[in-house]
Amino acid sequence: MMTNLFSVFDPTTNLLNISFNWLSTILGLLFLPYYFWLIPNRHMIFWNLILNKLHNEFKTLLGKNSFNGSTFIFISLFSFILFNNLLGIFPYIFTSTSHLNLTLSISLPLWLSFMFFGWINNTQHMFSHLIPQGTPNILMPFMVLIETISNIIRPGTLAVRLTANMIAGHLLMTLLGNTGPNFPTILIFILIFIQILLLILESAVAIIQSYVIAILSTLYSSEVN
Amino acid sequence: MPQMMPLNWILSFFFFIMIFILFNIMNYYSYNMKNKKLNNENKKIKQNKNFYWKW
Repeated sequence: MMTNLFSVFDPTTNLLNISFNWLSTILGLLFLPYYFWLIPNRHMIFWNLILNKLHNEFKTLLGKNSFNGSTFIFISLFSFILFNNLLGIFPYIFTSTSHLNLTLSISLPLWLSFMFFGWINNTQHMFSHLIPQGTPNILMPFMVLIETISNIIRPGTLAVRLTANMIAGHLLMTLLGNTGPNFPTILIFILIFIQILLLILESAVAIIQSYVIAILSTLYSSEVN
Repeated sequence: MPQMMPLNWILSFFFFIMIFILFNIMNYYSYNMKNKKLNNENKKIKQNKNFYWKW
């Protein structure tokens, strides 16, 4: 009997206070060596197709002012989050993206570097972003306040969005799965069907959320230059 | 959540950043090798001399 919903992942082994659960973050890297085979294979072609599509999309989002290879970090961010999300759906693999620990440590440095870059290099531009076009004169002080706040909480929202989305689906599946033993046999089939549907939804959410976090950080970076 | 309690945030921060950099490195060197024999018919298509991904 689980006393806590997350007690599957209770750390029994740890090194320097980092539990071995977090090692599942590296798991995505095990897929990537396929792309370094000398003979071209499907993995490679498929992955490069996705990355090129994303590259073209991010390049249009970043605009003309952007540096040449600046889509690269967002594509890597996408692949990092994607592998973590997708692998987290599998049973007994720890979902490290469902913790603020990971998402904050990715989004906070990104946002901070954007802010430093923007405020140091394009100070006027950053100030002009505080008031959207067509704001009435009376509303201007409030708009500055609101825009400043929304700018400051950006890394938080970015992190919490991913975390909450990952936790919500897993929680739903765990709760439904735990009711199984108390169910009559006929209802079990319905339960399993619903679980499969939820699993499909979760795998979609995993891909969508990794895309969302990549595209939002792209948009944030396009605002600073 | 018991696994959240004694968390060493700084250390895990460096851990995640390291993994993120690893992902960066792996993605940087992934490329599609072009088969030259297939492209012989239309030689006007420029061959990419660089093997790694041209950004």
